[in-house]
Amino acid sequence: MYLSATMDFQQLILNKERRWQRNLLIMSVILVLLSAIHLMVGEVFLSPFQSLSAFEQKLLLDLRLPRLVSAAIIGAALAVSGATLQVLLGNVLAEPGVLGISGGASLAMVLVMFALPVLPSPMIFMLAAIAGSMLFTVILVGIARAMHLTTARLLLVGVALGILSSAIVTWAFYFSDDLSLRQLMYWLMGSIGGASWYQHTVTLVMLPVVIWLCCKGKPLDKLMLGEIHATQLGIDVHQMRWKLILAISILVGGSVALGGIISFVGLVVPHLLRLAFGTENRYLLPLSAISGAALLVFADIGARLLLDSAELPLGVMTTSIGAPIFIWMLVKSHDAR
Amino acid sequence: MMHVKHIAVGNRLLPLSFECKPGEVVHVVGPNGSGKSTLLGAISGTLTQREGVSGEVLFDNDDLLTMPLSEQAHIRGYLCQQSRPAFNVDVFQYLALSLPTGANISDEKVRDAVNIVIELVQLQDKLHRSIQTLSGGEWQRVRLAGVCMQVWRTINPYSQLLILDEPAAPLDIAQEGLLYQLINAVAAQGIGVLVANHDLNRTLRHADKVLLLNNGVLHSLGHADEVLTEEGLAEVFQTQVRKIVVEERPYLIFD
Repeated sequence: MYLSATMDFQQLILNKERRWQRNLLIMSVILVLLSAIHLMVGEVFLSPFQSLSAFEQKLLLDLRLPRLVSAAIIGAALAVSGATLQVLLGNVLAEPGVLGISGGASLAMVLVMFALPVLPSPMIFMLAAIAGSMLFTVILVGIARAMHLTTARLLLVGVALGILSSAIVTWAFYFSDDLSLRQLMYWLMGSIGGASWYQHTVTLVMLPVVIWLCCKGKPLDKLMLGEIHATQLGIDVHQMRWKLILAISILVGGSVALGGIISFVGLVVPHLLRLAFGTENRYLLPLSAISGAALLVFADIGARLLLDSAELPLGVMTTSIGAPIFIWMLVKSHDAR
Repeated sequence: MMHVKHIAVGNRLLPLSFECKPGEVVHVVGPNGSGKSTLLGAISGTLTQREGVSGEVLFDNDDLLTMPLSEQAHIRGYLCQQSRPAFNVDVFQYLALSLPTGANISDEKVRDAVNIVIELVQLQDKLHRSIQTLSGGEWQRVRLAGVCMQVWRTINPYSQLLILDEPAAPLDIAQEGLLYQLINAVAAQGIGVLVANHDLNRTLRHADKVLLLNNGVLHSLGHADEVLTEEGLAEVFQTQVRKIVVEERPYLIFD
């Protein structure tokens, strides 16, 4: 009896770890394949087996590659921040878009646009977006903790915050006929069509944060078991929470600055991975990052190919894929008690 | 040896002091709202100065409450009252997260300790289950196993104290028996055990020392026979209490 239980405990842990590692490998391969396809297909097909003309090289390096990097970093950032937010709020249905945090970012950007006489630089945009998303995250976490909100209530508060921000953004649009504002509108629908290397200064900030969050799996595993329990296991929950909020705000703010509001990635990716493979955050976070990147690269391929001589905003693609899955999740309400 | 000195929490718990020798089982009893959980939370270090905790919890002249949380986790284990996370965590995963930092599951000692604890709470066949599918009693046994592994001496040489807040609440009478076996096994390793308890007859039988709290004030402190008297309990609980002897063992009966 002794022996069998030993084997079981050890065996169960090792089996699970092996499974996670295999999934990480598979997902990485899928991401590489999708990225290759992303670079090849489009109005002009680029074959990897032919030498490229000067025009094709420019197309590859200045248009498709920055666009691919945008899609991948936004997907990774949103999926990781969604997974983290779910642990932080103790709520499997939390997501930056649904909870209105992205709304906070877009609101701050619109305000900056109105306040400044000239078109702000990407850096200012990103700082505004981060400030906006941080403000909304703090409000949400504060309310969730102070009032011990249930899943349903928390989602409602988040939705209300989202509506509030979109209402203010709509007011702003109504009272302006500025061309730049119409561009902003298209951008808020979620689009990475205009991605350029210059914008990727934002990526340089986001990438280390994504990696940092992926390394926080161990404390997050303990935090997932409840705040008091995590404290007694030696986690400084208070300090940890603020670091995580800051990281999530940077990632969501950066994503909004890069590609506008792209919903549901942060919800659907970690949630489905949890359902399929389990809740070990040590592996779930990196796997979410890779899968989120793969999903957005895939969605962007669709956005470029579905319409003949035009392209769909990326946000429309993810919303169309994500909304039905979200409804299914709410109805089945898997592990949300 | 643990010395608790003048520990107090705002106006919920007025200053009190007591000692707990290695391997001693100390029960904290009192009516609901008398400050049992507050006292345990304060000693565990999970309540902080922000919540108005003052006083010291000394182990060999080191104050637990001023140590970094990661060190505290090595010295004491604390089981708070029932709570279940919203996530689908497997039992073995929960237990692995409760092992003291640095313990490696492939280590012989760790494997032995894990097995003994799992055996003691009879969870051998539940290891692969998700905690969401467990009954209240099963989940409580998983939590007990976890917190015991955290302080188990063979894998954590620094451990001094195990704090259990109403550990018997969701357990049936047979499982309660397992609980007291587990407490004895931990105490036998020289670890002090501090238990908040509602079942006064269990306290009468199993406690080396009893703290009786009333309204955040220490009413009396000492051996179970001295503290759990008819008069003392009647005064604190505001109800009739009689102590009778059946087969040479004392029992308390209540109105």
